[in-house]
Amino acid sequence: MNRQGQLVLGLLLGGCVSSPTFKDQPVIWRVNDRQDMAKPQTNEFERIQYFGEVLVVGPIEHGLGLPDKQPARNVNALDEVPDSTWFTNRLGAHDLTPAEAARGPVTAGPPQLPLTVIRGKDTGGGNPGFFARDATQRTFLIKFDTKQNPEMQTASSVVVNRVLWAVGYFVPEDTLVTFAREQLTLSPDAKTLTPTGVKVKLTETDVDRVLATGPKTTDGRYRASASLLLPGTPVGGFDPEGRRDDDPNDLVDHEDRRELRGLKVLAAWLGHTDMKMDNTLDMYIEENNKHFLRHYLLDFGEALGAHQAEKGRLEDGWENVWDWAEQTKALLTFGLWKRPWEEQTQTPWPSIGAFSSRYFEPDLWKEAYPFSPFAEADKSDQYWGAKQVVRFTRPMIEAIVAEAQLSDPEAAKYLVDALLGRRWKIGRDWLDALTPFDDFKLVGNELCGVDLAVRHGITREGALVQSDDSGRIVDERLVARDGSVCTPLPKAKYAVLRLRIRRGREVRPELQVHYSSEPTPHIIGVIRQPL
Amino acid sequence: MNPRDSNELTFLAQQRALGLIRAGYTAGQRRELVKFGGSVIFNHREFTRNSVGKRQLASVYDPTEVPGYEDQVNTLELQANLIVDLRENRGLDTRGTYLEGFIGGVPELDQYAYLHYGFELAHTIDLYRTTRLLRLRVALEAVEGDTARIPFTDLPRLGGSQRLRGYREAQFRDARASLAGIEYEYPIHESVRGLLFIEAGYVAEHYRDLVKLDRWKVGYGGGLLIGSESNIAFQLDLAYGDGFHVYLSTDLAQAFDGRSEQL
Repeated sequence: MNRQGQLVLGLLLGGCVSSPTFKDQPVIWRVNDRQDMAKPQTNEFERIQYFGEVLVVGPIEHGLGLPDKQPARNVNALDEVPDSTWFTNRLGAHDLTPAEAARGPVTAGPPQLPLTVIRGKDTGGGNPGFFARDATQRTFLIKFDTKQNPEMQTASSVVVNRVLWAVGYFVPEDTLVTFAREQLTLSPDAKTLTPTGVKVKLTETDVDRVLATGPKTTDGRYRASASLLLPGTPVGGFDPEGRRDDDPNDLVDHEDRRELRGLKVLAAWLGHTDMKMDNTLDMYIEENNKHFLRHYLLDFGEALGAHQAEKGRLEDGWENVWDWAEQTKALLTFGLWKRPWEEQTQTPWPSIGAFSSRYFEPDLWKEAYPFSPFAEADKSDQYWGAKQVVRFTRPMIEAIVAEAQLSDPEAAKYLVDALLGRRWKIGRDWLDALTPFDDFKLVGNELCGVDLAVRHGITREGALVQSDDSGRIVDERLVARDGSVCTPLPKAKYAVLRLRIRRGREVRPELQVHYSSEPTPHIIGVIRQPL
Repeated sequence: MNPRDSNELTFLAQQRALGLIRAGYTAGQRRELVKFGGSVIFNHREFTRNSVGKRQLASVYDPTEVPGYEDQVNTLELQANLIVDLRENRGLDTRGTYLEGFIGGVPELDQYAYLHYGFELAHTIDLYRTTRLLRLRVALEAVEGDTARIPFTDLPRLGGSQRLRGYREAQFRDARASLAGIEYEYPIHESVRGLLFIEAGYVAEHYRDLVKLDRWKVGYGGGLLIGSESNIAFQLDLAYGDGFHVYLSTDLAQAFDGRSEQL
């Protein structure tokens, strides 16, 4: 780690949750991880090694080791994620209109027809596709649905892309395109790789073979997802654990990054079980005469139940592909244990599959392939993720789902309702598990904020309770219908407000808001989950 | 000693040549397959007494009581087979009925001649959403004829992974062999099922002896079934009968499958 890197990390740690008190300094909202750097080596995805590690070696190591969960290491004094090359606060920083959320990262729209196939798809997941150039000379990765589940993967590509962009992740510009066969030509220079890695000429027959794997629309055209190639040079995905040795800007172990831990909540919401290194990509880019990496999430076609449908496993979202704990339990209970996913049923829509809110329990959700940041996620990380999820309103979700252009309006309506239902469960289990008092501001002699669970319809009422250091209640205020509530500030140069949300007889864990009155009153730190 | 008077572990060595021709026809689609056909099986066996260091058959039993042991065995068996396969597939989570029957025999070309027939019936009951299955299975195999003209190697057998787990491969053999079993299959992983089973079987010279249930040999245990919806890759069983036995096998639903190729 270089000296500059140590400084940045030191500032972060100075204000992170592991410290009982905070330095009175400005809250960090942007991390400078854009230092000029040499192009790093490509981080190849070695499939067998990767799955061996996450499915066998990792679980054994975790099983043999003592529990040692550490708080996220890249949060600021307010327990938030500063902007970086990994994440840019969008929905958390300001409201998004439904139209903005639906547009997402897309700047120039879907491909302009006709398309010219320029090479075969030897990267970007297992589904058939190809790279094609549109009429405006932009290059897209074109991928298709399966015949069994028309519109499913293409819809998922767009919906999940928009959601993750709205929260703040870097994602490609994913859109939908529908074209007739005659609107697709083949470049004479087009090549593809055989399964053994030999580069061969791509033929019309190859293209037809790819097209034949997917369904046609009712008017005989082809519907596909189109992912605009990212700017810069790809250097492989990022490892779920540790850091890139050849990236001086990579200062925090990936499993300790809040935005990757909190991504678990979004993945659970969206059924994005296919989270693995292969579905991330680091791009070496140039910006303001500096070269650095930007970290992308991509390939969302297997979310919203598509991975479940493609693999034919109802346990997708409930168990890892190889789940030592669950499957040992199943072995030893001789089938008497009915697993929670066994009663799931398929919806009437092939584009939706079995995706539902009814058969979803946030605390039981699991990705298909263990992803270390998800395993390290603690309640604060889950709270952060849940806070992002509940900010999506019905109009936003409707607008995003509309981008998926599902041909059956009933399927689209169902998907919106399923997402809202899952959102509510996430709010209940992961937002309201802590004291969801947030969006603080100082108003006169009071600290005001919002009970996010009330604000976003997770629950109807609550009270904000303030206690002193000995636990004696010094103030209690009912939360307004819109979730807003205030509590008096103590008269002290430096004070810790100990706050809890009470719902009936249930009291949420203590939230600490550290406050200084000098030179002017201001909040200097938040401890969401005291140790 | 007559082999019917005792059950001793012995070993033998043989030189064997096997010729097998099968022809058949399959009608129908999945879940309603009917296969019928015929087989011609030529067997040449010549037993030797050079199983070094092991307890030889001839040192325990009277070789004259073991037809075929002291002579060359040359048989040409003709068989007609019928399979009715009403199972949904041949992989995990399958349910339905499987029936196999055969009849044939060795015509009097050499010193050996007998009639040979048998059947197996397996039916799988779906207990819960094709994930918990109960498989019931009965099988019978018999030879008819002068016992002195039936090579001991061609007597129906019990014991082993496909015919009475909990005992050694082909531990029991006589003119009649019957087998009944119950197997419970439950889900562990998308490609792995757990098994609990109990089986009972008996070999006897006469049918009337088969009803003496107190003589039946019982084996029970558990196992793992590895495969996919369309195929069983393999099955690993741990069974207890006269001791613990571990088996690695392929398709248990067909007790007589491969019997011609086996010892």
